[in-house]
Amino acid sequence: MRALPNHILKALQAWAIVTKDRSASDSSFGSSFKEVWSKRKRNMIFGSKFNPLATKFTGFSVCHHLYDDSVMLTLVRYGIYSSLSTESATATFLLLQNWKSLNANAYMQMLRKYPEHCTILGIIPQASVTYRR
Amino acid sequence: MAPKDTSYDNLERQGFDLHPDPLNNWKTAHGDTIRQKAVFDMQPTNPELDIQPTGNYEVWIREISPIAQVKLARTEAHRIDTEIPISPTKYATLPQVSDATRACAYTPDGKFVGMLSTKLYNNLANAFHHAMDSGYHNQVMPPSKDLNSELVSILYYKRNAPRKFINK
Repeated sequence: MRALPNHILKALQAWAIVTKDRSASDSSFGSSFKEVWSKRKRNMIFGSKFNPLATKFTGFSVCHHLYDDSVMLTLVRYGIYSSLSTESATATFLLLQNWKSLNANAYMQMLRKYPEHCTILGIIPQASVTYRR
Repeated sequence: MAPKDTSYDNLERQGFDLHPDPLNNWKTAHGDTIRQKAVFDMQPTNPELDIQPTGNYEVWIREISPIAQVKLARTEAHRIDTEIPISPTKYATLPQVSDATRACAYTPDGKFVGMLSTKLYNNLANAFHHAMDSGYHNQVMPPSKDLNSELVSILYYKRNAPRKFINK
């Protein structure tokens, strides 16, 4: 099952006060996140909320969806517009793929378009991202 | 025309009994009793993984021995040439076998669906019971039967979900 490595999630929780997982996989259930969202409606059985895009992003969230350019563009747009349209403190940490160091993707162009509202915090080497089961 | 073996005696027929209906002499009646008791399962059965059907969704914590294929080198210089025979200086690349405890999920007819780590299984079980106590289950249709059936459902979902990951 697809899930981010624990050390990345724990670092975000410890140092960026992230409490919400907008892209929960099964292994997010029962974790220390206060709220999790899943795109599978049936996962409400495990306490997750349905459809991360049903409401605007508020609070401090992590989001790591499929490696699909259109999905990631949607999330970047959603994160930016959510922060622009809310009064409460909002930060969305997205883990975006940077294939072969190309940054001409639509979502990367979107990041450059809103420099006051989003920034690249760092690049995680491929070898440090191993998915757990 | 009667089948040729009707004229053979029992010794020549090697013990095969003729069918009592003379029109079906060619159909052997040999082992009728045991054949009527036999049940043929048309679904593939894997005796290493599947269990005896219980009629319920099951999750068993059990010892398994997963086999992991060793990743072969990708560069041309390190690629293993399968034409060169194994020798004292050229070792075979064998899969790695390890022992592990896993939560294995089965359908009511005993078919293995998939497995989870015991830690993930415990997390999911805790989340399931917490959500049930919090009333989340009332919002889900059809209502949940039990934890095991939901875990099997998740594993089926994962198996059938389209794989969008493309290594660019």
